[in-house]
Amino acid sequence: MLKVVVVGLGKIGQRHLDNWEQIDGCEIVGLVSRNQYQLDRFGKKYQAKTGFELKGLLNRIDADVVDICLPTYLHFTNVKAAAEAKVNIICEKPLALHVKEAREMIHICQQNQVQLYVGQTLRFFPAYAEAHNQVKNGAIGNPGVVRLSRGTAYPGEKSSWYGDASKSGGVILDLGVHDFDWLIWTFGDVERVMARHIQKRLDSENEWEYSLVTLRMANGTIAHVELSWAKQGLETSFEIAGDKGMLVNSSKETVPIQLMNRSETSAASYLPNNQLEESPFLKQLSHFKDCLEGKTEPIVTAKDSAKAIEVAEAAILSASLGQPVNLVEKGALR
Amino acid sequence: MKVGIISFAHMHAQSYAKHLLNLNHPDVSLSAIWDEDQQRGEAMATQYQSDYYQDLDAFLQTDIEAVVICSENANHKLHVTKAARAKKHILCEKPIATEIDDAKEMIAVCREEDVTLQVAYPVRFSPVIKRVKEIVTSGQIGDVVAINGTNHGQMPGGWFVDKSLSGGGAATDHIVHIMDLVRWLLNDEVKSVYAELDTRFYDIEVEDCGIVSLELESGVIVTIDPSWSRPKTFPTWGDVTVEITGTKGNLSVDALKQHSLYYNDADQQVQQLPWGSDIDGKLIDDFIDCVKSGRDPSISGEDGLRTLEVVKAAYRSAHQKQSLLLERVEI
Repeated sequence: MLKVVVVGLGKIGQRHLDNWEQIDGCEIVGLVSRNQYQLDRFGKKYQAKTGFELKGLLNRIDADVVDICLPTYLHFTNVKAAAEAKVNIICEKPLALHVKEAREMIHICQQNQVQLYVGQTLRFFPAYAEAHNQVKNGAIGNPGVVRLSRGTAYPGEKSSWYGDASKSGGVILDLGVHDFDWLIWTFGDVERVMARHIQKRLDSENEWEYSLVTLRMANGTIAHVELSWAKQGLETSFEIAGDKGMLVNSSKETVPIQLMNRSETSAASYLPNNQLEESPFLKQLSHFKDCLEGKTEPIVTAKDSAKAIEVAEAAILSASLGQPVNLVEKGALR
Repeated sequence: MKVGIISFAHMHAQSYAKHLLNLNHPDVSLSAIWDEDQQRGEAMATQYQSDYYQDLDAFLQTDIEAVVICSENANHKLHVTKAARAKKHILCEKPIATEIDDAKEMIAVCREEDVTLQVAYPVRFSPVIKRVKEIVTSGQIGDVVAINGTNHGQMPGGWFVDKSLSGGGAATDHIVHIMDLVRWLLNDEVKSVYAELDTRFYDIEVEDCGIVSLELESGVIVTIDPSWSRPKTFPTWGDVTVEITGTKGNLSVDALKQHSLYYNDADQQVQQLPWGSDIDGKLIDDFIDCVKSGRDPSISGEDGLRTLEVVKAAYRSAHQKQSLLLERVEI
């Protein structure tokens, strides 16, 4: 039995709980949240010990892995607490707000000899995993221009922590780490990044944030990443053009079932998404469980995650300078 | 009204010729064709029931009122200035020129001779794009804050990849349509330009791909992908798409979306067969109306120049790996 502690019972924490529940050979032994109602509710459901903070809880119970589903700015202290208690860690993306912090977290985990896995869930999305494999197998030949787009509605409740860049890193870090990680995984390191970024003006009613990022990979590939917190729901797409072909995919075009109910006033409702089988979150958590049990090597490491953060940080810097930021020159990759 | 065509080097000339002859304007005739390539010129004259002239001066001495210029980009300056001196109104294929000084001179000569100089940006006449302009202007999506545009194409080959004739590759060919669209939609100008340009798809001497990243004077952010990245199997020549983000909503625009998909066994191809209206025809209608009425052109020489300035800045930026402030020349 893999004994799991879930930290944070917001949307993502609850989603992880749902997925853990579906995985054989694991048990929710502990829950951490600031919200007493959620603690009572899920503590009762899973018959798990509960607490307001991780360190205290880990003193009281025996756990194999801590699954951290907290806002980004709280990752560091919780990863540190788990590592010092010698418990393995799964941490929600982005691992940290800054690459320096991410590297320190990796170092702390190494020193304490615990595993640190980061939920770069995009690698578990079938379309993106397949595209990665096709590119690696030469399906498009030499890559030329890669276009990625990722958009969601403005996250969280009004004035949530997402809107505070010092807590979330903003859209470039929070959404960008998915696509930046996928780019690095598929095409190698980033050489240079140029970003434009714009967000809610003081006089506008709705909250939104948006960025257009241009990247030059070390292998010469040009990439363009659109990141939007100004959509209505999750919308993603990729277009990977090479000298022997092009791969195109969009979440809007891959919804196989559209449900229309005439009695409802809304024009059309869609089934939640285009993931019909095992959810990418389930795949990810099952994979990390297999890794912890020594059955396989991780598809994505904390170091990979740190690289994606490094690119996001460079993009944020670029947007504020209005100039490209060169990653290789900075020597930051080493 | 008699119209002539200067050169069929650019394939759009065929489309313009066809529309000059259509029933919308029975009083218009395509009476003269000049082409440097005698064989091509004679073939076109036969096809469009026109007269071929081997000598450009002789062509310009005829009683044509207006000319459509579809020569290679680098020859636009010579042909526009000559036509203007001969008092012909001009519709010039895009890009207006390959150098900013050339564009300036062309504009000045046309002004001096009091002839119309219109640049061929037919995308403005697309019913899709006209509707987009109406929606943007109505404020339905609030203030526009960002535009993510593409004008992809297949690699055209021929003189398009000969720098001495084209002035450049994909950046020269494909930045201008989206750039013109952005300027026209927002009544805004470019403040700073960054570009990544490269030759990654074909063994040619000009760039075949890239991304241009812009900030407009108003703070709106824009990227344009002008790449010749459509594979040979792509179902049409390319695309024109813009994702517009506003403070209250978004517009997702695909100007070529209105087509039937044709699974063509005979040619072993899947093809888009457009059924939306032909924008080249609307451009020709507009130009003829402009010449007849004497009004200002819908798309001016300055529109051509301002978009060319962005293209030239993109080349400099890609070379210097820096974002550059755009300095607009005075005209």
